[in-house]
Amino acid sequence: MDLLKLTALELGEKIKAKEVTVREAVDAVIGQIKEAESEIHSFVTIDEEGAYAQAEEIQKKIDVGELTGPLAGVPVAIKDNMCIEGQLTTCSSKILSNFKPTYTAEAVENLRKAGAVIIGKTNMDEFAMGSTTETSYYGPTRNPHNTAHVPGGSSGGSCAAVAASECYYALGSDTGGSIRQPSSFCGVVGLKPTYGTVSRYGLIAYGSSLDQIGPVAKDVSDCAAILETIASHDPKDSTSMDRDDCDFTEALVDDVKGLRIGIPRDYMGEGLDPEVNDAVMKAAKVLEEKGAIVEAFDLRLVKYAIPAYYTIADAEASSNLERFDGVKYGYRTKDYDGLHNMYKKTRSEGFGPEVKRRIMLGSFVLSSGYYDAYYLKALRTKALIKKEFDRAFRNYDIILGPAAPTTAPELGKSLSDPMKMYLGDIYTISVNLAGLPGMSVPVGKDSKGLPIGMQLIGNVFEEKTLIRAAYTYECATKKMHETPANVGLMSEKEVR
Amino acid sequence: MDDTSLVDYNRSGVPLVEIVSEPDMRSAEEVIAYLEKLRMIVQYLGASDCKLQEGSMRADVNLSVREVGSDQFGTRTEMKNLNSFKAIAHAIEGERQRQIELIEEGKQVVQETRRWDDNKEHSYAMRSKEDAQDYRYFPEPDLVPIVISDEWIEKIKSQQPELRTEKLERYKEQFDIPQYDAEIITGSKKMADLFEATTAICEKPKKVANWLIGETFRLMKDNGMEPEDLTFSPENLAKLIDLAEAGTINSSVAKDVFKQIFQEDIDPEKYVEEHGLKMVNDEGALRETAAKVIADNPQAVADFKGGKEKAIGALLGQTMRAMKGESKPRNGESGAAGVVKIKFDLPVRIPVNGTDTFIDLILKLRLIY
Repeated sequence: MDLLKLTALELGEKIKAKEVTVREAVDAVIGQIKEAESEIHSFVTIDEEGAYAQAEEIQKKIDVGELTGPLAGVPVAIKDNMCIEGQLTTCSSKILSNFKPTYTAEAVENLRKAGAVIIGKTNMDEFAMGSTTETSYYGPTRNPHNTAHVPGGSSGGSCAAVAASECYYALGSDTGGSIRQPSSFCGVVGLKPTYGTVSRYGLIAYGSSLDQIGPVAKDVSDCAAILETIASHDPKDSTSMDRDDCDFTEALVDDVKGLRIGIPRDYMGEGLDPEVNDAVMKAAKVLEEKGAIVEAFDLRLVKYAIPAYYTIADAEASSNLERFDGVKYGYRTKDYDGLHNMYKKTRSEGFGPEVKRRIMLGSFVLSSGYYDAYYLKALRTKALIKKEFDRAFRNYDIILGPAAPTTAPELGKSLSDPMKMYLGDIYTISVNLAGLPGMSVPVGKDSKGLPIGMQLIGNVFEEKTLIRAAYTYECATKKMHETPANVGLMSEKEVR
Repeated sequence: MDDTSLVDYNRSGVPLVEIVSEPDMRSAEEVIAYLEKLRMIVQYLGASDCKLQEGSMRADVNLSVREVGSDQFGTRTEMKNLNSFKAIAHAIEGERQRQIELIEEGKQVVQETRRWDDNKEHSYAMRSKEDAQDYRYFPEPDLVPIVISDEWIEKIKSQQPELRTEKLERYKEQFDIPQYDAEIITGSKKMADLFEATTAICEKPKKVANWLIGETFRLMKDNGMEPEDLTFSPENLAKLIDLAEAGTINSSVAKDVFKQIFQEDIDPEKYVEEHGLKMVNDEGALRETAAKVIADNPQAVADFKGGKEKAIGALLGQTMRAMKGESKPRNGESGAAGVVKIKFDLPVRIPVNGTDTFIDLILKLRLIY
């Protein structure tokens, strides 16, 4: 039995049935990490010792019937912007290169309670600012499908780790597409929930009004089960919502009859790679054949989403990142002359160029005299975009389109032109601005063998609708694209 | 220390309410009246003791001036570091003057934050214009707006403690004390609490009111104190009132003992006992002593009857001395020395005929002293 080929739920099932021990599951992923990590570099921290200690403890709890959940004993990787008590949490930044939090993020705590084995912290764009995982202080992560390409970002490490079978599933965070875009590039399933569904307590903030934690999974069923586990009402996060509809696995139903799907013309036009266009349209056709009603419509204001997003996200980032001053935690410069000089040098040395760019942009749009012209206007644009989505959801249950305009670019091709990189977020960021749930589902590969992702967008609280559509699609196409990774897999090296 | 930071948790977890008024106030008097009212409400709510000196209440004053008749506000300045009502009043007056002078000299008022130095009675700019702070304020995305429902407001209202007006009316009704007394006592929550607690023990509301309005306020003024600074316990004040009412100590001694209570919250019963301040209530013994003194001092008696009023001082003094301090009229002074200071006004005008009447007079003098 090749354990690495199992999904998280399949592995959980076998552990419960005593066919596989938790230790064997950890052996499998640690073995795979040792095999693949030198090529992929998904992780900032690999906690081998801790993973085996957890395995032993969890196995005991499973044996005495204390842990019975579907994810008990299944190894998971956590994006390195979520705090774990006593464990290095770097945000892939130099400024937090020595930071060990004193508490654990609520979403991670929820996984712990469900018996997850945390094997490490995954690489990301520094402070989640980037679309390629190349802005990491610890070096880039590579796409398991082709290591000359990026895995996307900012949750590139999480998505690559899942794609390369270095873990069974992972947590990512999504501020402007940071789960959906790398999921698309890595051929895995990623979901950004409705804002407020998963507690942000312990998630190091980038854009507080946009950030959401979500699952990165091998398939739709895993994705639903993970979301069900991490969603919770948390009084420690005042934006956390008290939902009573978090039984997401209930939506794993192979049926989309009568489901109204709208494809925005604005998503399928200029700038979209023809191969991506074809794959997404083909996927829409699959759903139509399964009984969904698919039609094109106009989703206006799409082009305003990018300036609005980068204004709001950077404004919030400039405020959120003020706390990294060398005083309270993290890196402090070695030589300095007085407090102000210490601040200046610490931040100059501690932050990378993309983070500095966004802090400066954010500081600018909030500065007196520019606030009304930029920040306030961006907030109004955000409100209009939300209205536009409201209008669309009167006619459709789901909005379908690509997750990104292209497949994964080659390493080193993106950072030199940040504007172009920002434009790559065009399909994902308006979802964050409107607080909606969005999901990326693999729908094939381009001629270079790089995965293509379809994005499904739902109305607020409609994760179940997304899961149902994605599951139906997956059922219809299972043979077409199975476990994606082809690099460093212990069992097979062949490219599908 | 290179890799560590020392953190001051001094005020962590202390909730802070910031109340911002509209530019509605036109004088220092209005500002002080507003703040006093605000302080009283917050104190009555039990939310804070509102001690300006200790920082549990602070005020920053924004001030601008404009020409009479103008409907446009002038450029405002903000003054910080105002830690007493007196300082606030001074700062307003000083800043008003400064701004008027600037404008009359044809200069501009700069919008800035100024620090008031109450010792120098002068304000100065905290930051120069060049490095003025740009705070880059924006709505905090981690805190969601709170919608306050009418039901919630009603619920809070129904749980609200008794505020001043209600208390004042209740005092007049329940304790039968005059409007004037009730106003002074309810003027601060601390005073009202002291009044109620003391009255609950000794059940003499008017006496309690008198002690608070009289001696307490006098001593507070002498010591530059606010009601919030009072530290004595209602138990000890109640005991003192009982002692005075029972005639165990005279009113003069009572005032002295109260001073001790005010300063150190001593137990008046113990204190009176230890310092031998009790009046002798064995009238028989006293009469006997007085009669003996009168018999032994015919000259003094004759002098007094002949119109030398002071002569009675010697008689009174000897009586006290003979009682061996048990009836000392004044703490720490020997009987005679204390007594000669008495100014006799009314009692000596009473015709003194027999010895008994004379003894009565001496006893009476002792009591009223």
